Amino acid sequence: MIPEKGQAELGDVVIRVDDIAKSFGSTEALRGVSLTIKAGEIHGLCGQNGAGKSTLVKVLTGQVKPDRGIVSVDGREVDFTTPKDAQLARIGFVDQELSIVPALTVEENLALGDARASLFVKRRRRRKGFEKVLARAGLGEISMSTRAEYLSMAQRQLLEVARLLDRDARCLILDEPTASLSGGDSAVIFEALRSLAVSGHSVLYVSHRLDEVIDLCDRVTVLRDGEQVAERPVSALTTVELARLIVGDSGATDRETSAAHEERFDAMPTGGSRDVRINLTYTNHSRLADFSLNISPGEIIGVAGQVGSGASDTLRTLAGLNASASVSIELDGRMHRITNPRQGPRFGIFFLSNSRRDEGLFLSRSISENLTATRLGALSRIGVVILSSLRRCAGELAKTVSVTGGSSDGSVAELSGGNQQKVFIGRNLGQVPSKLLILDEPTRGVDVGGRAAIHDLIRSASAQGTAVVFASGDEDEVLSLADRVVCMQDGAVTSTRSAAEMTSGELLAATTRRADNPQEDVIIDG
Amino acid sequence: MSSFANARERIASQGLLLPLGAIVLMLVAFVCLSEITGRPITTANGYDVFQQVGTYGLVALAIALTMVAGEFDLSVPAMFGLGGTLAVLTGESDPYVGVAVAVAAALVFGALQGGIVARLRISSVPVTLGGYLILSGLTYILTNSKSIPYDNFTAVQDLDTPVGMVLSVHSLIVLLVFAAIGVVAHFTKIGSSLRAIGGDRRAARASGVPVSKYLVATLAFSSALAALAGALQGYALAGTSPNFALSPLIFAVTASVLGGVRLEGGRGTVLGVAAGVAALSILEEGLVVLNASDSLSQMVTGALLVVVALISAPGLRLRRTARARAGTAAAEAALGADK
Amino acid sequence: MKLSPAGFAVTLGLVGFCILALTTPGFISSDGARAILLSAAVVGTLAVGQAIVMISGNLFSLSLASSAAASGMAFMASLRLGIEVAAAVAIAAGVLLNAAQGAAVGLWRANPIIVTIAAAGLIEGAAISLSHGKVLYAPRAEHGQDFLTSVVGGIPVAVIIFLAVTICAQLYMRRTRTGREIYLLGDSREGARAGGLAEAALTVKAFSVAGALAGVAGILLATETQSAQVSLVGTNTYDAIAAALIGGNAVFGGRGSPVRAAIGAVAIAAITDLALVRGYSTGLQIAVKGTLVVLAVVIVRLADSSAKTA
Repeated sequence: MIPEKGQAELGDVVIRVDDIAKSFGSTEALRGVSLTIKAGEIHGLCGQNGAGKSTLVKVLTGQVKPDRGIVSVDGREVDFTTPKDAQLARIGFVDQELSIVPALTVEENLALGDARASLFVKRRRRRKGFEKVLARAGLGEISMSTRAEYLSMAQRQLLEVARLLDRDARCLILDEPTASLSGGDSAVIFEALRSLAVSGHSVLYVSHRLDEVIDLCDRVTVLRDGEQVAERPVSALTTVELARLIVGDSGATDRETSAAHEERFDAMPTGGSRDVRINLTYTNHSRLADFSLNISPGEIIGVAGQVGSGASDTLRTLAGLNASASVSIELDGRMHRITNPRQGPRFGIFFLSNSRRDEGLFLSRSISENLTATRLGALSRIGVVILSSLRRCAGELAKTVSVTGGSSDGSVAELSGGNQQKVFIGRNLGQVPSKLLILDEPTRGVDVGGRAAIHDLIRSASAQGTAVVFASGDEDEVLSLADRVVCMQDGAVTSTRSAAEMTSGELLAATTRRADNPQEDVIIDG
Repeated sequence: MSSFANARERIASQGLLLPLGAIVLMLVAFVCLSEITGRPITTANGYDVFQQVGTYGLVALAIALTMVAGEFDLSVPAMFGLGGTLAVLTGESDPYVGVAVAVAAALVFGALQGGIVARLRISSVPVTLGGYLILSGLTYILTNSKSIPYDNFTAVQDLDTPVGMVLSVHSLIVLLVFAAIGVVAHFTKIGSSLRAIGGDRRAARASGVPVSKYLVATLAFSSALAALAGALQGYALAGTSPNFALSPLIFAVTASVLGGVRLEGGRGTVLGVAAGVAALSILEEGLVVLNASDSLSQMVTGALLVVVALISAPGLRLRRTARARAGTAAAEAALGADK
Repeated sequence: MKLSPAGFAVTLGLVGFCILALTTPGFISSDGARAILLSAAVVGTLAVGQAIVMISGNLFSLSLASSAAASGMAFMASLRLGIEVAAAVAIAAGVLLNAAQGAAVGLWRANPIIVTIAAAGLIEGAAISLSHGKVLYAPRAEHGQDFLTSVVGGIPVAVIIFLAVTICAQLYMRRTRTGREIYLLGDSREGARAGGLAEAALTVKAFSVAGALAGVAGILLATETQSAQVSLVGTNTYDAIAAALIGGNAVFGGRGSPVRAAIGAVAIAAITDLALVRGYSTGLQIAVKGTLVVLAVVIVRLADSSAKTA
């Protein structure tokens, strides 16, 4: 049933979610979550990766049907079968991947895909309507004939909001809206959201940025492992308490014992190896700050940061994939300027991107081809590949990373996500002497057992003297694996500490406190 | 702001800078040409230019529409030929019937191609390549590999009737079709939806644009336009003959890109394409005046297309705008990378 | 062995073809087979070149046949210097003409269809201009040219050359580092880039090899007709692409092989000859070719999407 358009009184419950559960195969994404959103409130939704936030959002926007539980709008139970149903229920969703077409103007984007509109465009009439929603979304100053590609990211977000308002949305769900925005830009979004709340709209604000949540929201719901662990008014919470709620009491799971740690450092080849010195300088336009780091041979550096912190960008820049940066890496006393991704491998620098599908694996090729994809030079003589060497190399690598499922000639596309990631990692670890490994989200999509295995592989690479820099949005993983932790936010490093001294809560707080907020030294016990 | 700067900004924002610039360039070149060769510019030159527009203009528009939507219809030159054949064969007594048959057949065929592209999510390039071969084969079958004459001389003469000093009924019809399509593109949501599909198909789909329907319609329509052009040409030349020529394709693509249509899709206006066609026609007229051989004309057009392809190559553009838009780009990269 | 819908359709087609072939007098005879292979030689060599361009992820080249014609003309023009020199000139011409296009596509990411269409026009126009529109004939005192039109062990030399270049191309693509990296490049351009492969250089190499093959095709063309002119291009542009597609190469890169393209060329030649013997018109042959292209593209796409999990 679809509720009629009415004006809810401020404070009335507009959306209620009761005991929602959803499983995907054997994974329980949501285990009975309840939530209420009131008219005129900005409601924050927080939780670690995998806590269930995106599944809950998908239920609310009609993309996924829950296995059990009730969703009600304005007191009446609703059953969303398609996203259109959610739109009709006046729920609007702004995804991280915006659906604004850059080549079209502001006006055209606002009108795009509107099924209600007639064939012939009534420009004057619709402009009046657009002016209203643009003003309400905080874009009153923008000319409607500007092409969307000239708008800043914040403005594009607000343009999506304006479009939702034009389609009569009353409750807006925003997924990590400030992920790629700087402080000033975010303020623009906040202002718009606050004025929308005042006029009776509701906002569900999904974000990792805890101080933004505390700053902006009226109430916040925290999810952990598919369950709701708290729904509190923000006035009763500090950033620290919120962080603790999100992380829970689980310590780092896969930490190296101190004995193993000693063993690793003892096993490292001594003499001859010098520090890896990294220096990155960016051009004026970049939102990333200059970055320097010295790594001892065999040291594992974990770069921790949430979506948009610049952690991934930094690693990509190191690999030579960023044209607007000047990269110099000193290995064994020799300085190397890296300007493209082909140079790194020549000096023993290997990179693993965070998207194995788009930028990593060759999906139609076999497992053994993928494992040996980047070392064909070493496996050939006078340009001709020696098949026996190739097979041997692929076999050893496959065994090292223990890929299960599929023969070595089988297509990589048929493997599970976890095994695909192992193949991807296997490509970079291995007999080739490497000086520096750059790994962006090395265990993405891998289950707990596979994670531990990959962590062991990384440790054994480090035991051979290879320096490792990895980025991960998972606090536990960072603390388990890294010797030293570099925290990043808003494109800059906020702190560098030894991993042994940090807890997950502290790490989370350190990566989610805004850089321009007063720094308080946060010590959480437990 | 002065009115000149105002006008310039509006023209630039409409993407008309390139085509208008091209026309101006060609006109200037033509004037210089007449100075050099001592041959004065007459209305005959203007007439020739518009005849050329009449011949290939709709072919260019057909391809341009598919390019704007992010696709590429390689079967257009073949439909040009088949359209002419069908019209000549069935329009003996009534030219309108011939045109109707040609356009109807084209709509069906184009819709079929569109259906395959949309449903199976295949690139239009190989599908329309197959279409090109099928249509060429059909043309040979229908004409029995011979030239077919068109005996309805009244119709031929009607088409040739001069209108004003530089137009003929033929070129006038083509210009009217351009105008009609331009009106539809500009005054309905079809124009912006098409550009959305070509500009960012994922975003268009997420916004609720019925992408599959548009793809089928676009490919159907491009075939129809090509068939119409072929039918008119068949009548104008009083007959058709089957051949495999690529030249309509080269002209159409060059004119489209000159007209501001981007190869990756998302940009382009009907007015721009018209201007591109006009500019290229002026160039061709200039080559005729120069008594250039066919091979030289071919080389000049080929060279122009190469230049245009390089200018619009993403590799070149990325470097220029990288510094200017590094801010947005980095933000987008962050958004894309940090998932 | 499981039979997917694609496999089923292909099997049905092959069975139908065999029935048709066996019931056509004059088809199954060594003469008939030889005729098929001969007409496949030129198109097949070009198709192998197209396959390499396709595998590299650059769609296809619409100028390959034009550069073959140009190579043929270069061959004729340099025959008086000896057949080896002439062959080298022809092949070099093919390599240069196509390497340039490869550079535009690889370095600047220009659209390959547009670049190759333009190049076709340029090459043909230049060829006509340079030859002043005249046909080039072999000089009277031909040096070893006889060899190319002769028959060895019952097989025309042209066919032997076609089979030889196919095998060489296959070995190149499967066994050399460059060849294997071209497959990777075609499968995922971004993956190749992030993995440190030299995308631009690989593209230029792919086009260059295709150009060399076009050079060989040009030589075969010229010796077949004992003359060379631009009209040698004929329908080879589309026939070669059609052959590569029908053989099962994918236009989206990363898979397929030279051998498949060669098989596609032989299949097309067989169908063409079958149609000729049965008296079917040119038009029908072309239309059938086109239909097969569409079918092949659809089948390859369906097979691909069922293999790749979401």
